[in-house]
Amino acid sequence: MTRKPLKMISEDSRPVLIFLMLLVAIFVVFSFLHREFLSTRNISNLLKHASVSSMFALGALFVVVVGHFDLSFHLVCSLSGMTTSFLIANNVPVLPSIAAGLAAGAVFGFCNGIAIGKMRLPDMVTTIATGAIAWGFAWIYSDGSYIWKNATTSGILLLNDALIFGIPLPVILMLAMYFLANVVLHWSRFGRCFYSTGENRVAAIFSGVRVRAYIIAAFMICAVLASVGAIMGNASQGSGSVRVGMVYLLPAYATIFLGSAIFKKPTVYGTFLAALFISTMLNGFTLMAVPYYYSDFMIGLVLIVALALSSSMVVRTRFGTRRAGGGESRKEVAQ
Amino acid sequence: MTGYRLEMKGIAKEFPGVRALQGVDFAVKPGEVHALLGVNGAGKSTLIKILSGTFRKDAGTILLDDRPIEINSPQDAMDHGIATVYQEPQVLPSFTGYEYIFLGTETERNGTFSVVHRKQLRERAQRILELFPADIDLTKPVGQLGAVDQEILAILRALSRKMSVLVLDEPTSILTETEKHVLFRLIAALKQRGISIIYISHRLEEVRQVVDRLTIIRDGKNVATLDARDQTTNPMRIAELMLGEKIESIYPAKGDDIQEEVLAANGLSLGGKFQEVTFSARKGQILGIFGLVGSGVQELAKTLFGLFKPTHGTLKLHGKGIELRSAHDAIKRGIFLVPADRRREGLIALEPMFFNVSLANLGEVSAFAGLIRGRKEKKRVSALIDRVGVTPPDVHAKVSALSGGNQQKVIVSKGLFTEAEVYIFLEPTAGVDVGAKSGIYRLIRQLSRTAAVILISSDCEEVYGVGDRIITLFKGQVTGDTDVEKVSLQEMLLLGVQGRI
Amino acid sequence: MMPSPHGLRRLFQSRFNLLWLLLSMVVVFSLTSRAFRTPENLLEILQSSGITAILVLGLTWIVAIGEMDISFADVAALVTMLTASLAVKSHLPIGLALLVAFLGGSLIGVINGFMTAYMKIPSLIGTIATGYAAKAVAKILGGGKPLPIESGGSGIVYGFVYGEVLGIPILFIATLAIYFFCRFLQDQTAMGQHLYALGENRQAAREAGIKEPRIIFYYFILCSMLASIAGILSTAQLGSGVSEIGGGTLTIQGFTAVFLGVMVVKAGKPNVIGTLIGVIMLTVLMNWITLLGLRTYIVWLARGSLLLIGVGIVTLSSYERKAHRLQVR
Repeated sequence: MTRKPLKMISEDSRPVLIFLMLLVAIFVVFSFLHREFLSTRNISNLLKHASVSSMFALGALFVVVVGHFDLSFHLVCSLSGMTTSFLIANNVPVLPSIAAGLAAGAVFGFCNGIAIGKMRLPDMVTTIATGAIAWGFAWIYSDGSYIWKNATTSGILLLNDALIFGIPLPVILMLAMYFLANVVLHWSRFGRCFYSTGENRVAAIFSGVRVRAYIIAAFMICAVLASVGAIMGNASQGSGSVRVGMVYLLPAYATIFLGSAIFKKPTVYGTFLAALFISTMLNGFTLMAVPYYYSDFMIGLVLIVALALSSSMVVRTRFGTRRAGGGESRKEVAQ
Repeated sequence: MTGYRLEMKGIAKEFPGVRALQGVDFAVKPGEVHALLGVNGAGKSTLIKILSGTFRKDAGTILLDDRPIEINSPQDAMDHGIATVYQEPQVLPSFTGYEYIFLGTETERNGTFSVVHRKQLRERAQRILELFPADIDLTKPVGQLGAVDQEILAILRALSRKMSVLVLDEPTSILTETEKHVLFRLIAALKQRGISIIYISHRLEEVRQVVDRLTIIRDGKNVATLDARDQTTNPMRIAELMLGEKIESIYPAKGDDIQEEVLAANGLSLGGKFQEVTFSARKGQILGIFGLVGSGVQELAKTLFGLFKPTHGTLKLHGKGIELRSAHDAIKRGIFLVPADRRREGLIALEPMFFNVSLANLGEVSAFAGLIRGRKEKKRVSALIDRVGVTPPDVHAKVSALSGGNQQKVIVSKGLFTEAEVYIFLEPTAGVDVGAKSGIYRLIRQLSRTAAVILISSDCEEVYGVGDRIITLFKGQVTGDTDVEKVSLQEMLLLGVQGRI
Repeated sequence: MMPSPHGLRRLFQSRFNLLWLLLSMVVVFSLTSRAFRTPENLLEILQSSGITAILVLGLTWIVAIGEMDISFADVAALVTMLTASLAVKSHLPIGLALLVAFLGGSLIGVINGFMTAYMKIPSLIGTIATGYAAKAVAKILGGGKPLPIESGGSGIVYGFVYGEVLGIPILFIATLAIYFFCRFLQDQTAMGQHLYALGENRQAAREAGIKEPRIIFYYFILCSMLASIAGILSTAQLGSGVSEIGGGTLTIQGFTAVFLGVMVVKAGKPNVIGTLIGVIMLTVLMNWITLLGLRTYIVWLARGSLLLIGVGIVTLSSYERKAHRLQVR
């Protein structure tokens, strides 16, 4: 019985521990390098930034779990954000405006899901296309310029500024969404279906899982969560911007794959920890006045390293036989 | 000089839990067509895969023209001049025939940038055709060619690389009568040139037509090597040698309590795959369907599970006509398929046992809002695992770590978890060792007491040993439909393998 | 792949449909828009499509093998910035700066190839990462802004980009030459055969003895090399180093061109001439739309829709053939 605890701190748990130590280490290092780091204001900023960027990662996580890629959410979310800002500028109350924005995102997510889940179009190129289309639509409202009318009066800014029990609303939203996602993906039957669809689509079909429905759902969730992120981002800037989501594409995937590398498969908690890690890094760099493009580079590097680490097992079994068009491997019946 | 082109001596190969080959000898003369016969699971394909470099032998020697050689990879086999043409050769549909043949050997120096002179390729192809006549248009895209032509192309490609031993794996399984003769003519031409051919087939009648000698393997050991032109070598005798005396006690007692009909099919047909299949599956009676690859049995199984939509015919569940729109639909109605390819179709390898077992009926262990009730789930899964006899009985174990037999049991548990009324087993003991087989057969018999069971397999012994009522399928047609007592095993084998006795 | 009729009749086959479409487009646009048919505009089209065509040449073959490369546009941008920063900040002679930049861009291809062929990282994510990193490096070098180069010394490249022969830009002629050379490689050499074999059925290609990883590795390097060349040409055209060429549209334009090209010439397969026609077509279309003064979003909508349609047609038509093999989908 005493052997057990020691055994547990090996193999599976090792990467997690290493990562947690890294996270703590970063905190320590940064707090030494800049005295402002541990201030309430900075931590608050860090967490607020993490809230937005982790929202995108969470949405993309669902798509990765079902075994696909979405390269459109950072553009689709712009459409949602602009829709919301536009409605607010036209005196529509905040909540319906937000709902409409999310609905716009959901529509695109649904289209992605149908195209990829039902018509079996290749996910990468298709989402590049739908993203461009959504991006085009996003410009309609204001020819691409910022929409800030009624921002201060409508209450939308509360989305960013409100404090609940002293905690910024964005952070509450992040925690709520992640908790919800964790429930769905790890504790509910739907999560089982999502994972089986991604891990072995054929076996999932043979087990009665309605894979097409789950793929559609995943793409819709991705679009909607990205939309949430965009609306939050707009709220923090005080105006609707067509570019709001663009910077989040790569960090989202970097986050997911970093989380995958730690926990051996894409998970909600893994994504959460990775999101914190990356946001902390970015925050530290910003504090030290490192220009943003250095951090971009770091993120690209993180992604490559995470890919290399998780490459052998997770990624290969999940995405190994994906091709742009063709190439079937010989069927091997066990005989 | 032993006079043999190829000799395999004392070949042994073991897989986890299965001794596939136990010291097999096999020798082929130059210019000889030599058949390798045996039932599924006897070890033929393992032997051939060792020869083609896909597997590595554990023990034994291989001699080519009296020189010992090592074959450690498919490339080695090719370099030694041993070519294998499988049942459905990998094709490149948009390539023309002559391009396909010379892929990889386009020019003398085989440089990447060497210019390909199509005219030259056509001429080279012509020259090969002069030596080995085959009525084939090499300028047509491969995708437009029929099955026999695709096979011939694969053979021609082997020839273009100067092979001395050609292995044909079930070459006629997808061919029509006329197409077969085309193939046989080609084989005769190859013989004349001194090329040795190893011919693997289940078509016993056919084998006698084209083959010089035949070697029979059973349970990984040699049984006999016969001269095909000998009078005493007839399909019946071959069948007996292939099957041996043992229809032993790995099979449980037959069913004696036939209850109500659960699933009935009438005139079920699917395009070109199978026609007019009619049966009545009842509780208490195991329906065995025997057919080889290409006979339509696989497609039949999938049609019964809702994966394919039949083109004609009806299905009735408890007397009421139904239409199955998907596997999800089938499972909901109480029909469950235990698939042939465990890894690809049956299990989610990376996940633990409880995940796999509950997957087809998650509603059973969900509370409100879909939350999984972990304890209830593990308890129920545990009970099922015990009932079915999976070892080790650890619901948390990853299924990829289990043996074939245990994996199969996990899949059966998945079906049990759905409380299905109809179980369809497709190739249930593929890759399962003899010891585990009897456990699975007993399980199947147990199942049939409370549900209708349909056992579909290309293993004739299995179907005969386990089934109460037998249907045989040959090239999509039903060639036999009778109670198991009214037909002998040899007869059943022949009905499935050549369509008549 | 299929034997073709000889002589003039070749031009009237259905597989050249897109070419006819392109020609009719040019005719219609010239008739309806005065601004379109000015010599300056037409020159602009030829030049712009020339550079883009070189940029996506390698991409055609990457898609043909069944892989993806999202980094090519960023590689080109990086090359411009490398050239600029080496010339301006390190005071290297322009020729040397271009060479080093070229090598730098090609290095990205080495990384892409290594990741995809040997580490089995899916090419999509791998190249997203390298593309992103490349863009970030470009931004670092330029401090977040474009970096102008004083033109002295970039004479040869400049002349290449802007020079004309009989009124046709040299650039365009050179592009045509490169394309026809590549068409030769693709259709008349063993390399092309192996390329399409890999794309059609990897297992069959392996069985034929084609060394799969190595060839994939080389193609990624080639793609980046060509993107680097396009980058060099862009440097001359822009006169400075930038971190992003074409406002982020190059990636989608590249894929659209390749998928449009799939519909031409070689039915159903990515091929270089098809891509070339696709590039010219897109450039003509976008040029006309811009001249119309249509707002940006329509242009984006058009781009996205075109790609979607192209992908849809290609995928759905190839699935019809496969549907005959009854498989669980």
